[in-house]
Amino acid sequence: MSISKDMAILIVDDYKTMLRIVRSLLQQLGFTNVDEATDGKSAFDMIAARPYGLVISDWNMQPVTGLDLLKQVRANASTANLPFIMVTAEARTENVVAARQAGVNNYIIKPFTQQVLKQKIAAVLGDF
Amino acid sequence: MSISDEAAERRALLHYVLAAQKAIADLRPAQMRFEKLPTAMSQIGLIVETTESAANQIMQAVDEIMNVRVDLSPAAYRSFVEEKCLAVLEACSFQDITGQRITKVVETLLTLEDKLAALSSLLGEEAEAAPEPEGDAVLLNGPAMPGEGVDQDEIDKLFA
Repeated sequence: MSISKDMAILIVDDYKTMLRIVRSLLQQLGFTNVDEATDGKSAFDMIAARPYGLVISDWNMQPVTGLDLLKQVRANASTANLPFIMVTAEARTENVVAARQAGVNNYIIKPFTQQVLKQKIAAVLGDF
Repeated sequence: MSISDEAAERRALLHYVLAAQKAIADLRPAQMRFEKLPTAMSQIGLIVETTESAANQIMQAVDEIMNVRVDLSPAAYRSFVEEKCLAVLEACSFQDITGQRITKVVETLLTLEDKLAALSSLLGEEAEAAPEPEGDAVLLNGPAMPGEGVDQDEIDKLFA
């Protein structure tokens, strides 16, 4: 399966520096249709308003965490199957298990490289 | 209780109150509240600002290198890249600055810890456990310390 580089991607992180890093890495991978949100609540509003092909989200945000966002996305019939990758510094086994149980498609530990991001996107969406 | 016992008990109580008064005075709560802690918080705020500024400066330089014009001569290309690399090196000076600020914050916390420990010991206070987080909040631990947590390879096995 091959994915479109025009696919809309939403990146969510409360650190603008991380948003810039992820956006730059995605641009280098050829993805230019990228939106940003700085917390889970605004991210969910954006997801409800526009069809995205992929969400890449941090976990530790306030007031709505990345895990809360994931649960909301999975609980909504129209977004239940939206590909969702968690990118976080939360690196305990119980974190990964909880995210997996909530329906995350893949999980990346910060700090990470462009190669890791590329691998995880390919694992979730197919080669590009 | 005899009169001498009562007098001894009052003396002990007086010594206890004087010692407690001294321990509280040594805390210098006004100095902590209006000087040390605000300074420490300012230092932490500046650390956040400094690191953000440095990261942005580095990313700006890298963005410009990655998008360099393809029609530049070799000499112009070299000069351009050298200029941007210098900007990256300059931005990395944040480590020294933030290290010094962190040291100041740690010193303040150590001072506060010593004074609180002395007061706590005098009062015979037992350590009180922090309230346990509930629900998904239990999972929020922040970046793992070295040797803790799992690495990307272990996570990949869970998703294989």
